[in-house]
Amino acid sequence: MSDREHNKGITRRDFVATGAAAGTLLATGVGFGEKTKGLPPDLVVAHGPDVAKNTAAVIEAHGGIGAFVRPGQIVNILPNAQGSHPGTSTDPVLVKTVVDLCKKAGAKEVRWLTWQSGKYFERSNIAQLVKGSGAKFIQVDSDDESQWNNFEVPNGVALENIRVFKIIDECDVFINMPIIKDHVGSRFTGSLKNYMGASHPTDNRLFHPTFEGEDLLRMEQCIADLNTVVKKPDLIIADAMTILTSKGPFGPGDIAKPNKVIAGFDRVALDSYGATLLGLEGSEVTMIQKAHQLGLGEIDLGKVRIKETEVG
Amino acid sequence: MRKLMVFHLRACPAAIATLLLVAGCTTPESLCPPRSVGLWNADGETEVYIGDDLFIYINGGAEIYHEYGFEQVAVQRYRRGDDIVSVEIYTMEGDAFGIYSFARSSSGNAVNLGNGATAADYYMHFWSGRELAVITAENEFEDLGEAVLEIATAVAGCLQPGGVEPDLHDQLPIEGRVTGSEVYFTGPLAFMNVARPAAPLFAGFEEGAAARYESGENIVVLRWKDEAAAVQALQEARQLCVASGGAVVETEDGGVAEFESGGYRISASASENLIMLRVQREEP
Repeated sequence: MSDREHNKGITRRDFVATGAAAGTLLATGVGFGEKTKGLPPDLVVAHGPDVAKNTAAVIEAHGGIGAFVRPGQIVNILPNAQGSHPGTSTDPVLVKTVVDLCKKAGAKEVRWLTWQSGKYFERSNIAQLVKGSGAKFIQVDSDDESQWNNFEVPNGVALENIRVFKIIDECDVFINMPIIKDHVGSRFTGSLKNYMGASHPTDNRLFHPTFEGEDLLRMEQCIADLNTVVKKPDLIIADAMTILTSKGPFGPGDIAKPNKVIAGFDRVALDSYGATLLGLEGSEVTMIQKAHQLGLGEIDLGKVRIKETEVG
Repeated sequence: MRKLMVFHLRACPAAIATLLLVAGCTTPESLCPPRSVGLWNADGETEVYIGDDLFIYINGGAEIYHEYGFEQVAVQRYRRGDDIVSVEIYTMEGDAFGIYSFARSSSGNAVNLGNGATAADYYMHFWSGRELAVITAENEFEDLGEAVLEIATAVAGCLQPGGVEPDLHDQLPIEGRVTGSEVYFTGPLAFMNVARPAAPLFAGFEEGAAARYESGENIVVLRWKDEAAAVQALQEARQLCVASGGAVVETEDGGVAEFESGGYRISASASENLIMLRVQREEP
């Protein structure tokens, strides 16, 4: 996989090469083959009991927050705030850690985007915490068409058009912040599906089969199609600390505690790794498979450079 | 944007819930869910979401409740210091056994509450009449199991009684069946969750029941309106399986078809208006 160009011409390779991505990580398991030796990781997985430390560690391993955020820039973040049941929402401490790091790097503004109601977010206690960190809460009005782009989906298999809120593109840096968990419709939700938090709620409902006989796997294809037109993430930071392994996405259900935070740039690769935390392979999750078929990323973890780190 | 409806839900018939928005009920002793349970006090007003407003409450995953005939949900949080327990009371169009069977923990313990209750480590489901109650400890604390049971018991006391379990799961074999794994369903989304590889092949059923077995297989019984519809469904499944790259093996008597699809082996047998499916993952 090629290095991804970041802001102002800085690449991950530059940062790794200049030693900016050293930090104090203890690399314990790294999926580097001989041919990729010396190349930066595609995915960094930090394991440890402290979500804030794990979050800081994965960012550091990707070159530090300075590799992504420069002074004066606007950062958009998209956490998953499903509700207050355990394992269903991106950990508020993870969100706060990222916001704080962005501010420390000199971000002019960190904007937390949603079309959901403020009340909805308050249930997960994320709103109060992010407010305290200085992030700006942007609630897009789903009834105001002027706030939405209606994209054609030229490479879509199931989708022809989809509305995505405009503000997602109005930034210098976009960070997708999903939680890894089970999903009643697609078996798994992670970074690909988290984009439904940016597409219009009315359109999202049409992802599901609307009449008997329609393809039951329509939603998975729609999510893959959506990902072909939405803004690519400059960074994905996924919460896999405490996750719902059954009865997702809303729960309550079985809980696992992988105690991991995962960061990368490739939505398919990250989700393929995330699926393993639920006992699945990426190829068993139709949504991931479809996204791979659309060229959105690598599904085969054997071809992904994964750096696993223990964080004390 | 729609406004969230927040009000005290009284123990009034669900059918007049909308009227409560205007008039409200004013009988304090009939509150359901109650305003306090022991040391637990209601934290804020009861939130009620009716019909499609469930999508406001459950962003992603609401479809399964609609498939089971969702009417409304009342949500109340309780607080004891820093500890929080939430109560959700879902009211369905018909008896709530179906959504209960789907939503409960498949590895929990049976509890004597309502018409049926299952407790897992930090949450509990039970049903009574048209209502499903879900009690969840939202954070970790020492006596969360006792707290969940205490609040569940209080809630059970204010739900409407009644309700009957469907009899379709009587058709499932008893031997080797994992207790508590039985699921009753009437729609494709639930079917897909209990037997994903089989769901795309079979459509048009009226109801279904499924369970996990110690052998590792899932067994599903689907009921069609009549025998002709079941026979046709089996024939269509054969065609769909082949069209999607799977294989169909017919037995000599023609009564059983074996499908190989997506790494799974599905054995299907028809009897009158029922089709029984045995779904097992194939060894690699």
